[in-house]
Amino acid sequence: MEQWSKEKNLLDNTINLREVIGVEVLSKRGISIGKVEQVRTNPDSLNAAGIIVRRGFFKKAVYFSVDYVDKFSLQGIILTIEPAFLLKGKKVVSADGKVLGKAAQVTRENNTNDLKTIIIKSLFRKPAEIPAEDIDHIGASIVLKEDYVATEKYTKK
Amino acid sequence: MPLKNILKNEALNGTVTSDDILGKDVIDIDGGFIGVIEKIHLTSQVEVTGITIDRGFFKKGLYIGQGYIKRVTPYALFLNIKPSFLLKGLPVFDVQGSRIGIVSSVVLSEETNKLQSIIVRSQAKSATIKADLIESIGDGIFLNKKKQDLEAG
Repeated sequence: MEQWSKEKNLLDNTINLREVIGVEVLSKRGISIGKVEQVRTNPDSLNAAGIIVRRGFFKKAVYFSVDYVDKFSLQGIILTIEPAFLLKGKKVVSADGKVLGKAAQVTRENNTNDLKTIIIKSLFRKPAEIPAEDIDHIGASIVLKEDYVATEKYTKK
Repeated sequence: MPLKNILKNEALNGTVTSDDILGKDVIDIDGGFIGVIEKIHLTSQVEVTGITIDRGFFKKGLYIGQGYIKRVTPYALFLNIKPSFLLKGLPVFDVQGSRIGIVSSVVLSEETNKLQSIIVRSQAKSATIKADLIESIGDGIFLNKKKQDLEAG
């Protein structure tokens, strides 16, 4: 095929976005989020702006801007983040190992992945809202900082 | 020696009893719940050498040496590692996110938590992947090479 291009945009250095449809999207920790439904481009720059990910039946599709994409290929897409919605259902544990409940709801700053609060629920307690500043570590569960006083805040509301 | 004299001479503040910790949760460095403390192992000089963890029905118990214990609280015992045997069953992806298979077993260095390699099963095939090819471990394992490079190597 004849080409009209400057060096960095040679045809061999590009991918056909149509082939990305259906590719698996993974979170930073390796959880499968879904499959690419659409690749959105910026109409001015023609650069890819983000992807819409189909998450299966009964789950809403989600949009990730390219700021949250770490690796993009025809084999798979890896995000730079653990999307906040994946926190739902994780155990919330105080710094001394007491299980306070499970994350039932997550709020974030506008459309970013920056956490604002998590709301935890457990069987015999009122729901409690925990600000993101009180979170020490998010992994298999959500571990709170040592200075978070669970007994006081947990009985509020 | 009467009991009260023994107690007077011992600094009990900051200590926990076996009653306090038996049955408590064991939490790894990633916040994962591994099981509950079933036994505490002591030497003849009454030094703790480790604990046995009960992981529930149909799962083998697990001995964790004292060196892998970070701290003990009234509610749980924290480890300073993520036990490598927990990698079993995790999906494995190459550097581009292409799915390679599932970890069917792990090979450790003697009786430590140091990972030597993982055996990855994919359909009928299985392959051994050395630990130095692992980029990161979370809810899945990412390798630092492309799938085709692994097959070629």
